Amino acid sequence: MNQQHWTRDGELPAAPAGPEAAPPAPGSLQALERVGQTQLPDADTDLYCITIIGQIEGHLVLPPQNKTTKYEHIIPQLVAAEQNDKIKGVLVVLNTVGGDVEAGLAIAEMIATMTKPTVTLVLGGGHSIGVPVAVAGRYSFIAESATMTIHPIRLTGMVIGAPASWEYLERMQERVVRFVVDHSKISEAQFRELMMKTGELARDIGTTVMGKDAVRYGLIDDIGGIGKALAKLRELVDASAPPPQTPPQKPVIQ
Amino acid sequence: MILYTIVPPDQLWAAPVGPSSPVMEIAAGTVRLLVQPLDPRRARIVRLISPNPNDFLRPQFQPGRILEFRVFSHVSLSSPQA
Repeated sequence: MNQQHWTRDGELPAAPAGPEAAPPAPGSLQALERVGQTQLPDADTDLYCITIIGQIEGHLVLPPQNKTTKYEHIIPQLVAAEQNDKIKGVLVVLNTVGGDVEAGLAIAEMIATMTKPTVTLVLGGGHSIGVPVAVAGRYSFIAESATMTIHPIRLTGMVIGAPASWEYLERMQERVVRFVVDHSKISEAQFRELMMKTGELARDIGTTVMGKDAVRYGLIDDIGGIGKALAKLRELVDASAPPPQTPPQKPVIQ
Repeated sequence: MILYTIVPPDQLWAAPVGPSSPVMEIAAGTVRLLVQPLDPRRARIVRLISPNPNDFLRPQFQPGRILEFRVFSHVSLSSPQA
């Protein structure tokens, strides 16, 4: 067995690893040995694709039945995309139910402050803290069937001082409202109205905004799917090339 | 920490149903893999995390594939750097 293992291993680099190579039986040693061997032509992409799914997980690890996107995965990816010369643009695909306010805002700020073109696409849902992330890109799309739930921030757990807690919640909410209003075409009054609406959600106050309505309110730029999002990203990349030269430094007059 | 989500807290913090299988995260070159250990030497890929869409086309990273942990050897896990 050991002998066979080494022989096979030794042959690996010489064997053409094309798509025609028979797929190894699942669980076989051969499958293990091939890890890292490039079997597809390495079509270099100049577009990064970042998916944000399930719960956006931040300071606390959620129980394992939750599907999560961790900020420690997303933030380094965005840093890498920003500083890698080969990456021309970033597509952010969202299908999220919300999550940690700070993690969500951190990701949204990272996307919004990138110098490279960014396009966000909401598929399925971009709820709660997914809303700031969805509007953070330079251009945003929402699938027609996708929805975004806009509702107030809730506090769970022990409340010691009601006025202080209320004040704190207000401030947390203000961060979200401010970000969304600053990065989309929706007015603050409209956003707050959607957030505080009663009678739309069974378990909460707020609104579920459908794809078309999100565009009508100015929250999202356009209706579209992967094709439109990629085309728009390509257009933004082309428009931003060649990279802008640093402007000549003007003397600072104190 | 405040969670801003449409998932009700009771559902979010519910105890996992059934025996939960631990998932560990390993780095393989530029990608990250969430794997489920099967025994001390082998693990099954559960999820691939990579911003490069082409990584999702690579058969060796497909969820369900079984990896074997080895002492560092000549088999390079890194993606082509060029």
